[in-house]
Amino acid sequence: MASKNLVRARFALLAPVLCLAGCGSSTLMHTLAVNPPDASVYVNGVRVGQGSSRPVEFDFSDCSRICIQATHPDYKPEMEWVTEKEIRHMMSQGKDKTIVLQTRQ
Amino acid sequence: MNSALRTLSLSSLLALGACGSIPTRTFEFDAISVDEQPRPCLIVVNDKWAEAFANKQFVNVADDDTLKLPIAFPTSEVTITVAPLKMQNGQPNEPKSRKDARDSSGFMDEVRALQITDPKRVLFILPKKPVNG
Repeated sequence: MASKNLVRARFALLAPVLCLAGCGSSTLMHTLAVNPPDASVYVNGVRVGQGSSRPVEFDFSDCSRICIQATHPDYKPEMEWVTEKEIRHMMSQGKDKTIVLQTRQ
Repeated sequence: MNSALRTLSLSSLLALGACGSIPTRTFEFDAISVDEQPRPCLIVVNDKWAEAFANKQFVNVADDDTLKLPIAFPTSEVTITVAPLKMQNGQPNEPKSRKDARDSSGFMDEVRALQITDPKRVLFILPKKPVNG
């Protein structure tokens, strides 16, 4: 009887942990670079900074793809979508995500 | 959990949240110029221009603000057009089309296909209209 209770108690403790582990972390840290280096960068509509290269948090918990935008007064603004699969692939290849702006004509 | 499974789960949850009707998600829209200044704009859903203007689907018109708008997804994608507005005496002129918006405001418009699983904040960065554009 005591051992049955012990098993139940273990399961009660373990089940939420397993559920949480199943959810998994959907936030990835990856380096985002931009050219020209003084362009401003936005991730999901939020400004993440200005400068050539920075580690950025890619949070896929509430979306299936992430919007990266870069802007500079002398260049055409650029927008790219990235998926978790693409970020993971770049991480495995050791490649940064790079956004290159084109000059305005 | 892999990304495909998470996308499926997210889509299913959002669809279930709609209780069998057309799934809806609220997005927050904003628009800036390439030099990161707020731009007055009209947010048009599925080319319903008159409805957008009548419903005052504006950003940055009265102030530097955003627009929270529930978007229904009868299909997998919904077309969002951000139309730059010309302001006259503090009031926006009603654009009738993308070309009209471009010509009157001096800024380019943008069209984006939005999916229900997209990030909730939607930013448009509008370049100036080319001189001969």
